[in-house]
Formats: sequence, C-alpha cells, structure tokens
Amino acid sequence: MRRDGLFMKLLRNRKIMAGVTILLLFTLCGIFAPLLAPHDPYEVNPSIAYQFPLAGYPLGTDEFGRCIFSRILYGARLTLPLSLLSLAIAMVIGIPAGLLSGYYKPLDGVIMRLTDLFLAFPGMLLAIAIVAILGSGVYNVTIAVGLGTAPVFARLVRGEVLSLKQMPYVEAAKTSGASGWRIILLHILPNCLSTIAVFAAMQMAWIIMSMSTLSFLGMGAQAPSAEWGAMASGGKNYIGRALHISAFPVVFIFLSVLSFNMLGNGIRDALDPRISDGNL
Amino acid sequence: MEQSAPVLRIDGLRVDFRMRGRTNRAVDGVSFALNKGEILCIVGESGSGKSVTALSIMGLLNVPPAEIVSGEILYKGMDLLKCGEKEMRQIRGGQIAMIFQEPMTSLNPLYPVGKQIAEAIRLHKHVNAKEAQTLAVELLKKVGIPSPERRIHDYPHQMSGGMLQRVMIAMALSCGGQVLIADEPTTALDVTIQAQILDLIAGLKEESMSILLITHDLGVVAEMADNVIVMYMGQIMEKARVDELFDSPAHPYTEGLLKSIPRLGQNEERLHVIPGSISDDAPEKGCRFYPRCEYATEKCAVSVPPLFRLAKGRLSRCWLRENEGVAEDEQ
Repeated sequence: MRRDGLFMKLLRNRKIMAGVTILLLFTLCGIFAPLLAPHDPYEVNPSIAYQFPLAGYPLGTDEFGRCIFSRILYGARLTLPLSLLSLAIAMVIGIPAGLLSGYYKPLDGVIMRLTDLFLAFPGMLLAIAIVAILGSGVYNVTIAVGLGTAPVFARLVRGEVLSLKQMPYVEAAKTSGASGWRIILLHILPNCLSTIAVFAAMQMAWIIMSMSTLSFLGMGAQAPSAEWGAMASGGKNYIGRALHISAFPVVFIFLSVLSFNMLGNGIRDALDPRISDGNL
Repeated sequence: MEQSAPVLRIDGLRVDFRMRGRTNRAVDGVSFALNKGEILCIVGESGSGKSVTALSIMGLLNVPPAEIVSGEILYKGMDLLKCGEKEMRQIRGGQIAMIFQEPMTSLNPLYPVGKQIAEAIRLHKHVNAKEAQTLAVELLKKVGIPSPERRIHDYPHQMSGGMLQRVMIAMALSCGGQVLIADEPTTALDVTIQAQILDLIAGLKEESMSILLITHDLGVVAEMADNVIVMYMGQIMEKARVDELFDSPAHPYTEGLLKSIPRLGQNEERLHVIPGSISDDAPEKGCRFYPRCEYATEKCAVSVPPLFRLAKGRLSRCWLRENEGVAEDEQ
C-alpha cells in the first residue's frame, strides 16, 4: 500500500513524467533504429552532402551526404547504454567506498584522501587525463568518466552513512548482536537508496555531457561512428554553411541531459515531504 | 534477597572521554552487582555517567573518543572487557539485551516490525525464516500487542510509541537473554503508556530476568526498583534498597533530589532546587558534590569521601556518614 502511494506520487510528478517520456522515446529509437532509420547511417553519398532537411532525409545530410536522422537514431544505441555503463562503474566503486569510509573510521582517512585527490581536479580534466593514460576510444571514455564520477558518489554516500550511523535503530541493531556488514547492508544502505537514486539521475546528465564532450574533442567515438558528440564534432568545420550538421546531434544531447535532470529533480521533489504534492 | 553469585558485576569501572586534548572522566570508579531477578535502578541527572556505564557493559562505546581506563565487567564470571568483537556479538542480544529511550527511531523504518524481530532471533538461534516469524508472533503476544499475526506486517510508522517500545522489548526477549538494560525506556512515552511498559518490565522480573533500569524519574524508581544507585558526575553517591532510599536518604544529593519532587497537597510557591548546576569539570579535590552541598564542611573541600558502607547493601559517599560505617573503596 505504501509502495503504491509512492509510485503514484512519482507518476503524478510532471517533471518525472516529462523526463521519463523523452528517455523512453530515445530508448525505443535506439532499440528500433534499424526499423525506423530511413537510410543506412554509414552510407556515403557525396552528391547530396550538406543538404538541409528534405524529403527522405528528415534532418538533412552531413558533410558526406549521410542521413543525419538515421545516424542520430543509431547514436542512441551508443550514448545511452555507454552512459549507463559509466554510471554503473561510478556506483560500483563509489558506493562501497563511501559505505566503508563512513562506517569504519580507520578507513575513512585513507578513502577520503583518495577522493580528495580525485576531486582536486575538475571532472573533465580528470577524465581527459585518464583517457590520455588508457588511450582514446568509446570504452576508455566510458571508464574514464565512470572513474571520474566514482569519488563524488563516495562522498555522498559517506555523508549519508555518517548521519545514519547515529540513528537509534543502528545502535539497536548493534545491541541485538548484528555484525558490521549486516548493519551496513540491511540498515544503512537501504536507507541511503533514495538519495542515491536522485543523485544518480543528476549524475547521468553530467556523464552524458562529459562523454559527448570527450567524443567532440576526438577522444571518444572515432570518425565514422554515429555517436552524438562525434557527429557534432564532425560538423563543426561547416557551421557557417550547414549549421544543422552539428545542431541536430547537440539538440539530442541537450534533450537527454535535460530529461535526466528533470527526472532527478522530480524524484527529489516527490520524495521530499516539504514540497506539497501536485504542484510543479 | 541476597543470592550467591550476581549475574553481572561491575568493578571499579573508569571511562574517559578525550576530546581535543581534554580528558573528561565520565565514569569514575563505579562498582555494583546485579543479582538474578533483581531490578536495579541507576538514577542521576544528565551527564552523570548512567548511559556510559550501560554502553560500557554492551561494549558499544565509541573508542575513541571514549576509553575504558580500568575496571572489570563480569558477566557470569567472564570479563566482557576482554572479549573479542565476535564473542561480544554473541552476548549482545543473546545474553544481555538493551532497550532505548526513543522507540520511534529504534526500529528501521524500511522493514515491517515482524521481520526485524525475526532478524534478531536468527542472529542468535538457528531457526529458519518461518520459525522465526512464528516466534516473533509469540513474542508480540507476550508483550501484549493485540492481534500479533496481523501486526507483524506493520511498519514502524504504523505503530504508536508505546507499541514500538513493546516491540523493542519483544526483540530484547527474543533470545532468552538473562539481563535487560533499559536506558530510560519510558521517557518518550506519555504517562498511561509509561505505566503499561513499566508493568511489562516488572513482569519480566518474575521470569527471573535481571534488569538494569536507567532513569532520571524518581517516580519510576519508587515503583520499580529493588535497589537504587544514585550517580553524580561519574561516581556512585549512594546505594540503597528502594524503601530505605526514600525513607532516609544517606547523602545530601539524594536528599536534594527527593525534596525537589512536587507533592500533592503541598502548596509551596516554589519547588526545592539543588543550588548550582552540574559542571563539566569535577572539582580538583574534595567531594564532587561539594560546590552544591548545603552541609559542606571544610573537609569536603579538600578530600574525596570514599563510599562508606553503612549497612549491608547500603553505601554513601559523604563525610557526614564517616562515623556510621567503614570505607568501602579508597581513592
């Protein structure tokens, strides 16, 4: 009953609905790209290069005469799963580090100095440095962005643990003889989950941005690949002549960042009892 | 009601708290014994070391800043301070259980109460989830929760404070422990519920459980206790049987506390207060209570009184009683 209440509350939130709708749409685009795409995304046709939207080519063609619409559909297959993978890397490293750091005081110093070290560099710079070490390529960018985001998760979770650790029910669990691991997994982690969910949605926006930026800078997806950041990069030399080559992929990056942001904001509002239901 | 071997015995417990280079002694040489089927009350104002004593027994002090400097905590002859973490986990909940002041927050809001009781059972008993569930229902019935079969599926926010404290007691009972430490179990509850919870705790005594009841409510003491320890600034000021304590307090601090209780039919303008307030730092020498004591003499300012044994089980840390008993501990 309580669960239904929360679920309904999430559904009733307009920001969440907007975010979810756009993301769902993009996901479907990615999944059904072969069916939806009017052309082969890699088919080069110099005779119709730089075309603005026209019949058969809904979003026009790029500098090699490839169908931008088809490329964007296929691009969803790269951007969204890789961003999720990156987020997963960040969470798999960051959350346990934060739990340990917050719960076991002796580990706190070590783990937090390590995160300080990572956080001392601006996120993008850090990701570029990691790509420099690993070499360029989509998967390396995914790893780099994931590693760069992990310390932020560690920080967030540690803070939550420090306050949850003081809760009487944690003390009570100790007095009934529960072990440290048990308390972390059964009592502390589940109580951080809502905070983590909100934060993860917000971070997804940052991750998509970073991955696209790195691709734009030529470190991620390489030339023919239909990745949104790389596509924007490919069109950047022709901005004067054919703005749409860069503009359309950027609009899709923008929409996905926006929808993850709205999703995060929406979840936060829905879970925050101080903001009354229904409005926003 | 003296019995052969006490279940729990604390000897010369000293606990320090170190904060930013300063050392505060929160518990200073506390010794007492808890017998089978006894309710021993520890009273004292905030900061007198009651709760720290309780947490020391459970081995749940945060070290650092806290540090147990010396002393022994003997449970059935075994020194708990020398036990490893693993052994302590067996003892916590399995042998010695504890309940807290705030029942509302003592349960995890994410799980139904039945599940939490079952978890506590399975930490110490080898039973499967279903058996644990059945045991949980029995326990809830025992602590007086109506229709426990339905109630085990309730989440903590669906229950009242009194019910949650009953659930906490059920959890404390779940593994057949011998000792219950109750740290101000009724402070957060309203008066009628308080009485019910106290009845429930008193009932446990009939099952020869030993109960260490920490409180600052003298009404609770009068109703519940067999023996009473009065603590002030980390030291035991007086120990007595409950009737003796209320009839003839043997320490000026106890006397002050009893005088401060409002009484029906007494129409005084103001209640009695003990002058001054408890301070962070113990006086460097002399009696801890000396600065607030109405009977203070010069001797009190200079040397710390030992605990004088006035009679069997009757102790007082006051120079006024010097001629009535023998010194129990010298400092």
